[in-house]
Amino acid sequence: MQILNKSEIVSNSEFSSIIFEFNNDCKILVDTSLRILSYVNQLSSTGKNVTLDFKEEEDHTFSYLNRIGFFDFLDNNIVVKPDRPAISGADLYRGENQRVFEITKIIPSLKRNEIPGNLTDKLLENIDNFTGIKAFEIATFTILGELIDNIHIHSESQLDGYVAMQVYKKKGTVKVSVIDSGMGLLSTLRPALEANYPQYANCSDPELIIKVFSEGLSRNGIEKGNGLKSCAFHALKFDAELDLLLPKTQFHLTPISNIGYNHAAKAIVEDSKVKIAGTQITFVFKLDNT
Amino acid sequence: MMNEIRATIKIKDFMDTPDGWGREQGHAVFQKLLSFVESNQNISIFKISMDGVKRIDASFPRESIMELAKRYQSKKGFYLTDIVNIDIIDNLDAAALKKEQPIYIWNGDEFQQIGAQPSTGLKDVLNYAVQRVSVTATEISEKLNIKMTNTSTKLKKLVSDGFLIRQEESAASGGKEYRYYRIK
Repeated sequence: MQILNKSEIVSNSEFSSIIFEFNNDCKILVDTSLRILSYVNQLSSTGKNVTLDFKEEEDHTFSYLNRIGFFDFLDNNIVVKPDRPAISGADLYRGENQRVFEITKIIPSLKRNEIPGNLTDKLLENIDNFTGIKAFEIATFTILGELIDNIHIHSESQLDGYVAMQVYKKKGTVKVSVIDSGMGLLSTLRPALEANYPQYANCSDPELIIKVFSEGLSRNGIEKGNGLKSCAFHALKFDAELDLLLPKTQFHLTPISNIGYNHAAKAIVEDSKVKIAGTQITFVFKLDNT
Repeated sequence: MMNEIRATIKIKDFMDTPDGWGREQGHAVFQKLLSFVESNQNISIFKISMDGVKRIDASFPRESIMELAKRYQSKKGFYLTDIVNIDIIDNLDAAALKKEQPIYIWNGDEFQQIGAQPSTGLKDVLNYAVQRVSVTATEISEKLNIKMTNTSTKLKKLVSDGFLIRQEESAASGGKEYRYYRIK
């Protein structure tokens, strides 16, 4: 068995079994939790033998993942060591913690109209009132509505997508993250560039990402595609940072006052160490009085 | 004079919930709106009341309201009222811009024009026209001291771009003239 260090790039075709080892008390963030959930479910769906090894059942990471419902959506074929939780922490404590929200599953073929509104309401209930709360309500609803809609419209995958949110009180931030297991944003957009946006056909990936969020592009033509642009517009009102994970690359966009996300130099690009299918978009809002 | 028949569309009545999001839901509401408009052929201006609508994203209004307005551009006018949360105006604006459609939001006698904007050369004529229920080319030509042919061209452009609608009516001097109506 090969032990990978964090600098190695892994091709999913190179192994038939994989063990994810979680060090004791590693502090895992909510968007990372989604990423792991999506990735291991993808691996399992392709027949890989997947094991998640937590060393100790009661360590912080295991407890946290249980609390947000991670194990509730884990593919049944995935082995968990020492064992899966006997009781779902999400079911047990649902709604009790004002800062932690359970993962929501999005089935690509089944649209549930109430989800963006319910999630928005849940978040608002657990944020102290502040001056911009009405704007934040629309920002959150827009982001959830647009990103969840993209799972239904664009993901082209049978695998479920997921939504997660968390309030980080000490940092004064709110994180909203949506992930799917589809083709990936650029993979679906690039084939349509020649027909719809020929002026961008030769753009690099970072340049194209900036265009998506600043001008609004869609593989379905120039009259579509203002969803992500609108998400960015609202997020910028709260100086939100934006993380975008694609199959081969991840982008970190930072807001620039009066400009937005449209400065390419601010798009920090890292080649992904593993190829996770799909798109994950995470906004980190900075709020007053959270 | 235009038979000032207007109709009110309370868009909440066409939605399943007070929240509107996504393309599919937008398209479903569009189909209902289309049926309503088609069943009211004699109506030229529709007031779309947002009363009861709690939240919308950008895709929903693009596929519903703005698609409807675009469909009937230059033939019928649609304007918005009763917007409680002003932050949804950003999404309405984004939706209208994507469709290259101008839309007026009226609050009493005050208005905000979102979406596609008039070119610089049309602004004076539009600003004059929107302050009044209706105008003629003759009136504007005299008031703004613009040549008649130029005025007519500008008004025609404002109609084709969706900022005004017009109807042919009997002129005071006999014959026919176009009267241009603001969308309210």
